[in-house]
Amino acid sequence: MSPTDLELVDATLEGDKSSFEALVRRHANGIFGLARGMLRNETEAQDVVQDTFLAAFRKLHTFRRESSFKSWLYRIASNTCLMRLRSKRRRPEVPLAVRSSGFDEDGHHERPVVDWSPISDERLETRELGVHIRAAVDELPEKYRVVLLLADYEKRSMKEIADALDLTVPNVKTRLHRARLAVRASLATYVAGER
Amino acid sequence: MTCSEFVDNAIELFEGDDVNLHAALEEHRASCADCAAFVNTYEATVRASQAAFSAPFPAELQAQLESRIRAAVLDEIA
Repeated sequence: MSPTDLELVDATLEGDKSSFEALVRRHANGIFGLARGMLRNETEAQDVVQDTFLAAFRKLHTFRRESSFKSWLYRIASNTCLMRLRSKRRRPEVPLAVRSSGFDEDGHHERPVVDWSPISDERLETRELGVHIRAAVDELPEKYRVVLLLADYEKRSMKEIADALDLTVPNVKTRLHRARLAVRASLATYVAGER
Repeated sequence: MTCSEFVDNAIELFEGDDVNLHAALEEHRASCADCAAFVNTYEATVRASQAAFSAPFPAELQAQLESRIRAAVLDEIA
C-alpha cells in the first residue's frame, strides 16, 4: 500500500528526500492543471508548479495538519497564481456574455430543456471533452475563470474565495454562477454535436 | 417562482445558506421538468469542469515538468 501524504510529509521532515519526490510525483499534475487554468499559460503554469513545491518544502515545518496536505499545497499554488495575476498590468474587465433569453413573458422556458447530463457524464473521462471544457474555461474573463477554478476544481468555499479575492460572498456566487452558465452553454453545444 | 427566477438563483441549491430560498427552489424543481433538467445539466457542468482540470497531461509535458522540479527543488534539498 502506498504511503499517505502525511506519512510522506513526516518522512520528508525526518530527512528522507525520496518522500518529497513522491509528493511531487503525486501532486504536480493537479497543481499544473489548476495553474494552467488560472493563468492560461503553460510556461507560467510550470513556473508555478516549481515555485509551489519550493515554497512547500521550505514551509513544510509550518504545516499544521488542520487541513489535508493536498489542500495546503493547492492553497500555496492558487495564491501563487493570484499574485502573478495581480502583478500583471490590469486590463479592463470584459463583461461575460451569458445568454439570458430563452424565457417567455411569464418567465417560463420558451422551449423544453434537454437533459444531456447522462451523455456528458458518459464522456467525462474522454480527452475530447476535457479539451472542450478547458477551452470554454479559457475563454472566460479572468475574474470569472479564477472563481470557477477555485470553487469547482480546488473546492474552496465561497467564504474562502471571497477572502482570497477581497470580494463579498454574494459577489463570488454571482461570478461563479455566470461562469458555470457560460461553460454549461458551451458544453450543451458540444453534447448536441455529439448526439 | 418562475423558471427565469429559478435559473437566476439555482446556485443557491448548492452554495447557499438561505433555508427559505432553498426550499422554494426545491419546490419549483419538483414541479418543473424543464428546471429539473436544467439543474441536472448544471451539476453535470460542474462535474465536467472538475474532470477536465484533473485530466492527466501529455507524458512529454509531464516529463518536462518533473525535470524542472527535480532541478529546482530536489537539488536544493539534496
